[in-house]
Amino acid sequence: MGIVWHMFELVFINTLDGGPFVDDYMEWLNLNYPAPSTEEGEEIGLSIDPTAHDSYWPYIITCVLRGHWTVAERLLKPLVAKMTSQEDKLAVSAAIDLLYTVPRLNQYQDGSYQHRAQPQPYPSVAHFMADWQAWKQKCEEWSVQTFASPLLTQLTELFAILAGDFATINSHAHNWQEALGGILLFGNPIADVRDAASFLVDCEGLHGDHNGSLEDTDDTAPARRSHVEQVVLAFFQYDLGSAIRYCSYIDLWLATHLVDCLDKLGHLHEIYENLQTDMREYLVLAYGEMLMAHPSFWQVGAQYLASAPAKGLSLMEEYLTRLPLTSERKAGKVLGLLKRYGLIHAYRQVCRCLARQYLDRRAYGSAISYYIEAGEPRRVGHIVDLLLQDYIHTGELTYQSIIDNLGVEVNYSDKLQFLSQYRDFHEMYKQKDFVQAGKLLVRLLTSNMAPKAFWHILLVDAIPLLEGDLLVFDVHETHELMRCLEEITSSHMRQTYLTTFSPLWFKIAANASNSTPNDTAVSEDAALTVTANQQLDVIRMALVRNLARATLFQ
Amino acid sequence: MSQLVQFDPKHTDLIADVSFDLYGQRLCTVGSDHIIKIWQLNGDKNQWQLTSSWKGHDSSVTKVSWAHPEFGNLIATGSFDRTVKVWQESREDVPQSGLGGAGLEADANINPWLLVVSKKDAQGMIVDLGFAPHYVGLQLAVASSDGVIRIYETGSPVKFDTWTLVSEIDINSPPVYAPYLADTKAKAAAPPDLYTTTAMASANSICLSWCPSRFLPNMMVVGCGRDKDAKIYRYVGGRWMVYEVLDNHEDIIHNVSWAPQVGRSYHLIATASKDHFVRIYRVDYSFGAIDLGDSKDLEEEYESASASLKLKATLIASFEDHHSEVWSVSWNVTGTILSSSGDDGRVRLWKATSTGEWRETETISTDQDPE
Amino acid sequence: MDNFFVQPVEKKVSAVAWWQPQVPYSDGQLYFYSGTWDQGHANVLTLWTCPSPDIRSRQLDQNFEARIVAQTCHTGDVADVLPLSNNMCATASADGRVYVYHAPDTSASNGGGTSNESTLEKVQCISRLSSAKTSDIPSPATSMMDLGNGSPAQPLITAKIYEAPCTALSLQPHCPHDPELASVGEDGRLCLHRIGQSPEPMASVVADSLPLYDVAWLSSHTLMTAGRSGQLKVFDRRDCQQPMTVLVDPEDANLSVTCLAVHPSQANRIATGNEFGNMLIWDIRQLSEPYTNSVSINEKGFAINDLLFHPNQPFTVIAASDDATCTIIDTNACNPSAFNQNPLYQPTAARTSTTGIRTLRNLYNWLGINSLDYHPQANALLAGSDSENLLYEFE
Repeated sequence: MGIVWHMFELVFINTLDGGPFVDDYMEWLNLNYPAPSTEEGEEIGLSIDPTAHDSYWPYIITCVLRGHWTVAERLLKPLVAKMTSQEDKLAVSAAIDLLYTVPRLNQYQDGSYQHRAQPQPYPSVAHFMADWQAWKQKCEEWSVQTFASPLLTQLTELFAILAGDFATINSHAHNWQEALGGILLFGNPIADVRDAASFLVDCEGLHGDHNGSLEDTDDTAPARRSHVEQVVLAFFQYDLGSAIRYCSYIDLWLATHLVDCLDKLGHLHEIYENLQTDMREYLVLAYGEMLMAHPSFWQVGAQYLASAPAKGLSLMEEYLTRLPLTSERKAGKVLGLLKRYGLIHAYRQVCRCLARQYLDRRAYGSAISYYIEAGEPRRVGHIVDLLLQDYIHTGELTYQSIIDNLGVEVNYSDKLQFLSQYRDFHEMYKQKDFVQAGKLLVRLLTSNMAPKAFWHILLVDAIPLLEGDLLVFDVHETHELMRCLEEITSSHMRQTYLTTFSPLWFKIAANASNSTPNDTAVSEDAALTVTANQQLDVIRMALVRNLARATLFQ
Repeated sequence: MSQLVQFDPKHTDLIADVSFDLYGQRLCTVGSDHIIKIWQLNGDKNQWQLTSSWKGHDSSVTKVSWAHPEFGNLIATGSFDRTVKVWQESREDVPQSGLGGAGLEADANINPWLLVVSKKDAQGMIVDLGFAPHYVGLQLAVASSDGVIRIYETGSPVKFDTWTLVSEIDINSPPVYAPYLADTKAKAAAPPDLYTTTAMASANSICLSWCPSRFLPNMMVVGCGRDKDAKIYRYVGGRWMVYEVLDNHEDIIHNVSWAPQVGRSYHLIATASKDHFVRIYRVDYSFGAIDLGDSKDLEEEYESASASLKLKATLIASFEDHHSEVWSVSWNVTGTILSSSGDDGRVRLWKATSTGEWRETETISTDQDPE
Repeated sequence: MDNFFVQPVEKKVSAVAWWQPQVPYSDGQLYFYSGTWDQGHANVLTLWTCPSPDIRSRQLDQNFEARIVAQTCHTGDVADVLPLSNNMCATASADGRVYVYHAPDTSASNGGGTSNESTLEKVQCISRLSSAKTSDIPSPATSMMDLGNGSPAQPLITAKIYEAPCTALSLQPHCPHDPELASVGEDGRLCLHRIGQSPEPMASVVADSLPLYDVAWLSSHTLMTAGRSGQLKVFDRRDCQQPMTVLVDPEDANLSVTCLAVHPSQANRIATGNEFGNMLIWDIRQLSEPYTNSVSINEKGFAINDLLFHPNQPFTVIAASDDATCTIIDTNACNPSAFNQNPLYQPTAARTSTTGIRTLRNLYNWLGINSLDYHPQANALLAGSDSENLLYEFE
């Protein structure tokens, strides 16, 4: 992966100025395909007679091909002493000398070569070329000479390499990468990337169909070229389509980021035109999806998906809504992402799921809170009904803390408001503020805020106020209460109204008769004796008596 | 790539259907042994553990489907006994423990899955069912071998004990075509006498799949056994009308699946057919005169323009790789991968390339050793 | 804009805490705990050590790295970690329990030489529900039962009591012996525990009907909770049934309060962070009339995940936010009059003020920071993030 990335940098980023490619290439080659090995060098150096070592020449030649000239030079030095004939000595010395004096382009440019930011017109290139031609001339001269010593058969080839003979370079290179290095070093040191690519045809390791595609047809070529090599070759050929294809075989991450960079560098237009598709989007989505499939990479995955303009958000929506909501922390992060990217439907959906989870666990407060967040007044209403039922079952205002904790959110729905005010009623009653409590009760009934099915409960709640020493309801209010009573008893829905909350009817009634509505420790037997209709009669009687008192009072 | 987790659900007869919940954490299996089983993924060991198992019907259970989790844990099962049942995982049996929402406890011996409702309107066995997309509320479509698809709905958003039959699609009667199709299709349709003959053998092969898109609500694709095609129905003005026909099938369709739209400008529908083919249709839609951009609410905009909706289906891929009857097709969550299974004992995965061409990417064999 | 030093740890970090051993293992070493979340069954609690920047002349070299001293698997997300005395630490787990761990013996991993990782020994598992409910939980192991379908008995997962995730811990201050540990959870429960004693809480009350996110001791007998309801409640530990006081954000009462910090020396000063990136500084000397000052930390409304008062600079608050930054706020610079109760103080000015705010981030950390801690002696800020990084800043 590093190999590909490095080469990508060289080919597409570093060479924007079109400078010579050889130094960058050699760096890439020696970094990613290190050879020859230092161990081998040490072994040769430590042997009694280095020149007699089996790998002596191959090692030197590899060094030369890879630009490790000082190493080669050092190894050649002992050879001078071993030469018997003066000519041979001279030849070896000449080789050392030549290696020592290889003209390097960067020596001619006072380091300005490194200044990529400000492309130089290379004023001294001509000067360099002159020196280089002269140097090469010398190499060529030496390469046609023959030497007496059997040790020096390889020296000819060394000179040939120095002279830039492609055939010799190829025969000694271990692979095409090395061959290309040699060709660039000794064949054309001022080639830029495009020129370098044209030299690829001269690399024997790549033999085959030279016309464009580099498919293996030659027997001498490696049976299967690795994907990495394919990518690098495709880079050279500027064949981005296949480069990306091979990258995706290596790793989806690589392909995705490569395409992203290419896109940003503006190299992808031609591909889009050829393939009629947005390569970047496709790969970013593919990589994002891969991350989303992992249980804990969804946050990173979402970032990738978000960077795909066309479909990214829709995909993100699908994935994020399918994350199990195991904790508030996770839910919060999911909701945060959805909100940030404006996925309002998904946001509400997740809220509804959360609310449902809380509802299943009877955490009504949290359920209401998330249903409010989801914009679901109807479902909040249903929970309110549950809470009212719960109150009637137990006789306890168990929802009290829920209302407190919701704070101003109770204004969200009529039903919540009713719940809140009904709580206030009990609060006032407890504090013996009967008049206010009575007023509130009448308001709850007359404003239609209370559900009809709950009216008789409210009326029962009125009994202790009616029967108390203090006159609470005036004539008008008593009339209103009577109207409410008649409305439910004369309604065709009477049965429904009276039975919706019926299982508790008795208990409430018993509570009411004891004038302690909130006291749960009430004898069940007493409660059971009171029937619904009797209770209604009790209310009616109390109302009538109160009316009489109120009239008198006025 | 594929990791195969194999487990023996210990059904004593054929396993007729399996279904994941939305999160992929739970699995329901139903079998010809009348049993319904719920499994939970144990992430620790990557194993599926049985959490509930009960006898759900008096005959083979044929189909199961999970409702969206916003409705809680709810499944619907259909059976040869002509009933469709809705089950809810409930914690009602737990003693009240204060409203703070603290711990709840369920005795392991009590099946937490309670029967919410049982419907026996069908005149034949239940062959397919599916919950509608969650944003239209809790709706369930049930196909039975009497050739009728019945759509049920709950009234309450929180309690689901009342279900009412709201509409029906009767495959046996001549389809009602949408206005723009009426001329062309009605003439080409089968002679009327065919609809009067009882062709139960092929009529019992009905399958359905809801359109998951928020912008095309109340729409489903139905594989109509006898007609050897699949029709896209849309609920308009109190009845289901055919908006498009997916033809070119040479035999009955065993299964249909409508892909999630996710960002595409068109829809995809896959069919699994007895004629050995997996087919993928592309469905383009157009509105007579839609004026997008003015309104803030896209959905409302679609809603108002929907009267002039037109659909156009094109077959974009067909594969015979199973070389045998294909029984099931199913999309992944984003509609990018299609899976199909057939009598060759293979599950095949299909994926579109960057150029939009569909190719097989993987084959999973059920015989292979998970090692 | 300053940069953090980043160390990747390959798991999302949800909680960090410096630990100062009573007897240091070796000089110049700092120790801290970290806990992870959202790793399925692979969450871990880790004890790390790193060289103190003192001996490195406060220069971090590129090789700076914390090393694992001990690590253990943790059931559930680690929602909070809190070092205790006697080489112990407590964690709040998303499985609803509170766990107590014992750090390895000092001799076992002496110095920084050996790389022998040891484990943190789990010494206690505390349930947050009272015994009335826990006594008859079936054992978590599977039970055998006949399914009535003729097939052999199959193991079933026994239905477990749902235990809502525990979200935060706080240790009773000024109490050298047997301090009480307070915990809060998503069920709105506030529990008090005593380490090393009964696995049941001493007190367990429903303090809120909405999830609670954080808890802190104000004094040795009062506690404050914060949560989704946006209400800050003050409780007396002797009677937790009813809150003594309820405080709400005067500007928006319903925003979730995600985190809470109490000033180390002036317990009447509180800092809270909310889900929209606002930080509030409270002065609650007058409980009935709290004084607040709010600072908007990020414009885009990313939640504040954690905050604390700078232990050495009395007017500085450090906040960790979901937008991948840590913000160091000099509350004096933000609004010099804030704590002088200057009548000319205008709350609107503080909202927009950006002076005195320093933001820390790192290019390699682009997901939310969940937790932070400050080492008062080493002046070291430590944070953990969803980008699976530990973040360091040495001042």
